[in-house]
Amino acid sequence: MIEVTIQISIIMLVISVFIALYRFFKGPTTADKVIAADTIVTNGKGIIALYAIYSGNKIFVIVVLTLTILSFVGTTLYAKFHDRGKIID
Amino acid sequence: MIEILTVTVMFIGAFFMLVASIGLIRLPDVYSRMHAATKATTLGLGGILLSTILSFQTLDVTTQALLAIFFLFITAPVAAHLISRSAYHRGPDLFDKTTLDEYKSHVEKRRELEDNQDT
Repeated sequence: MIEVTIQISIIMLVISVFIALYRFFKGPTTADKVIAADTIVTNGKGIIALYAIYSGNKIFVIVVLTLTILSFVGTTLYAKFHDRGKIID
Repeated sequence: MIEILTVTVMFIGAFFMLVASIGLIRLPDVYSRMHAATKATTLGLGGILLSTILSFQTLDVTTQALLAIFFLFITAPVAAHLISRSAYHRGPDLFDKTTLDEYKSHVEKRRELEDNQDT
């Protein structure tokens, strides 16, 4: 039962990655593209966490933890640069 | 019993991730899209990581997944706030039916202060 649910969930997450990719390529402003990129990374984190359950390999949970911090750094850097024009005052 | 709980939490998480992406293409302006993407995504990834905890049930996986949920709950609102602020400063193209813009008066007041400082 758990394997079937993992497969269905991964399919749902892949569909949402493609929907976010549409917004990433179309998005009128740059902020839209950054939000879409953030959503794609979060969906990838979900896929990695589900694959950790599916394969029974614990090491992928650390990958999710690392990606959480790294995507925050990327988004913050974009916002600082877009707001003031320089990253470090 | 614990398997049913795992499956339920996992499916709720994946469903809310899908809802976040649908909101990303359906909603009209940057701010509402940011709102949908941030809130629903936080709940979705939280549910999936909770199902990871319930599935493994060991100490190390529980610690790492709880730490990931903690960082997610701290960083997602901060990132969304920064993005929407920089998007507003670059030109607030709000949705036509927006009725309330409380940030506008604040930005104008700050611009006046900066102009006075320059002269």
